[in-house]
Amino acid sequence: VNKSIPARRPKILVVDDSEIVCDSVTTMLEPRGYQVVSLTSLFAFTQTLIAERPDLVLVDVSMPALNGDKLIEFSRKHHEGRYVMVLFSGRGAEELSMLASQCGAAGYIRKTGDAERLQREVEAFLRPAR
Amino acid sequence: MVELQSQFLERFLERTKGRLTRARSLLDVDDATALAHELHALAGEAKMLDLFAIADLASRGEVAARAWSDGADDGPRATCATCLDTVGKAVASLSATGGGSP
Repeated sequence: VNKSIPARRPKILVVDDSEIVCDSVTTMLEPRGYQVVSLTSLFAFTQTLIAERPDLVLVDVSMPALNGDKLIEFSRKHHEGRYVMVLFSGRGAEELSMLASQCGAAGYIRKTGDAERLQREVEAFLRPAR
Repeated sequence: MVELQSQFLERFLERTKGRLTRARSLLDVDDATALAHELHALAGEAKMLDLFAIADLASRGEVAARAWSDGADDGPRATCATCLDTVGKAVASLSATGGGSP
């Protein structure tokens, strides 16, 4: 019996207080073979990380309760860098690059409605982990 | 992209009207930090939908609100007020046409 095992879809966790941003990412990435889970509040962040075990976490920089860079710093301390976390923002590349290196993020992805570009950038962060 | 806009534009316009009302109240009570957050969120949503004119205005307002929050004089506050007015007009125009350039 030679049954092929379907490949596991990479799981992306989006943490952004905007439902429109979360839903847009889902709309762009799910048809391209990713599973997208989103959080619009930080209330269940740790539980979601542990339960979902995402391959990549996209974290908005500016959120009401805690900024994304602080969230990544916190997570790196408490989860020993087990998760690939990147900043997800519309801010300028220079500022994001600096913030990412300060908080220990794997990098950053700039917000875009271009599904191909988003997929390319997501893949760049997933590839080293595969 | 067109697909994203057609799916989310109505929701975006509705949310943005509420966001602008909140932002104007924050301007009135001089809460620059919360105003910067509102404008950042607005810029992010507009970027996702490729509404670049609105995104640029909101980003400019966010930068001004952050400078204001950091203790700059009244210049940034006036910039925030102008950005809110201009975004309001862009959103009204977009609502009237049901999509398009902004």
